[in-house]
Amino acid sequence: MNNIEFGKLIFKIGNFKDRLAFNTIFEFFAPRIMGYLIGSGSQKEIAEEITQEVMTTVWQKAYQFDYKKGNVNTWIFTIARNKRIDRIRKNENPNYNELDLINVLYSENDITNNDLTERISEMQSKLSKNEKKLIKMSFFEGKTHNIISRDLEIPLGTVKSRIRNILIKMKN
Amino acid sequence: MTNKTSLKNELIFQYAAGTASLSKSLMAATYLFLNSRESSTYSQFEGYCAEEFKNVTQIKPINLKPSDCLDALEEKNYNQKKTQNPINNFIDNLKEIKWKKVFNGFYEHSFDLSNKERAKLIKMQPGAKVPLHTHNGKEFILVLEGSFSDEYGTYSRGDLQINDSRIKHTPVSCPEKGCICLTITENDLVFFGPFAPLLNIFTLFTSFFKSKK
Repeated sequence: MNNIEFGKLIFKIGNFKDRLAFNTIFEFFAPRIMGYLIGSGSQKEIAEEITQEVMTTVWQKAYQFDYKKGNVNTWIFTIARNKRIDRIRKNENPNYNELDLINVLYSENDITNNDLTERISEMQSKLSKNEKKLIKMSFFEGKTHNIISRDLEIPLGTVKSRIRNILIKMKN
Repeated sequence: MTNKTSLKNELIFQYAAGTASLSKSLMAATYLFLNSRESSTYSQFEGYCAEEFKNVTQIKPINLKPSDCLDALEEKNYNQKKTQNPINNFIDNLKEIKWKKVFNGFYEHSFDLSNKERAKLIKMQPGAKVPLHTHNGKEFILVLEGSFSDEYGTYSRGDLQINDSRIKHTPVSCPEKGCICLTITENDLVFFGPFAPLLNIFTLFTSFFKSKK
């Protein structure tokens, strides 16, 4: 399913509270949200709770989403990312200021222009399989350089310099 | 120079992926606010992560059904204040801060963020100088007002300097206006020069009491 088709489903959810459309979105995204959360260290039960929060937000905020401008996948990813951060901070027992700050720092992305889609596939085509893996572990799964060094059995200094070089490559 | 850029990119990527600490997220968000040309970097990294998300190994929920997500939870209505400097959301006004004096001409204000990397505001009076030092971890300095110079150049509002343990420097604030900066120091500073032993003992003591808290 492509972004236009996803966009139409989100439009139906937002405007007509269409449950069938929501089921389709749920079928596609819930297992990905679960995979993302568990991959970045959540317990299965907690992952289901956060997935529920994410999908509820999709149901409730679908009417705000502009399907002509936005990328559904990016939008749902940013909701999942922000819910994950909320949960981590709640566990750390933050003070009031912090929750406020999190809400200001992390917002949902509902606008992605088409230039960007091209730019992103260009970035991906530049990277080798191993480079993608390193970037995924470091940023997406939030692993420290020390843990990556241990998991991949390469020296710490090499991990650091490789990540730096990949970032330069991505941006050039 | 490329190296500096990749350190900045690392910070922005961590922020976009949601894996940066709260202190670093504040640093990144304030930097992006002051440098609007960098916002495309942020969007690209966010888009890259969203692609990873689409291709992630899928795990089906066991108990959760679509019907559990229809108005099941109360959604908080976040008032995004995106056009405002993130720092201002945290402290109302830079002028109203209660500064704590560290040494002559050098003041700081710590944020009460519950994580290991302490975000601080520092204020240097015009011409104030920090003795030659290096860092055990990384040091992030984002200029919010005024400017400062060191062996590597001059930094003004919106400039972000990221130093690692290979960098030794002697920052001096601008003689007319001084400067206010947002900083994160991952580990203690290590000083050089005639007063170094004294200053190093001082940082040892303060880090000892910090860890006791």
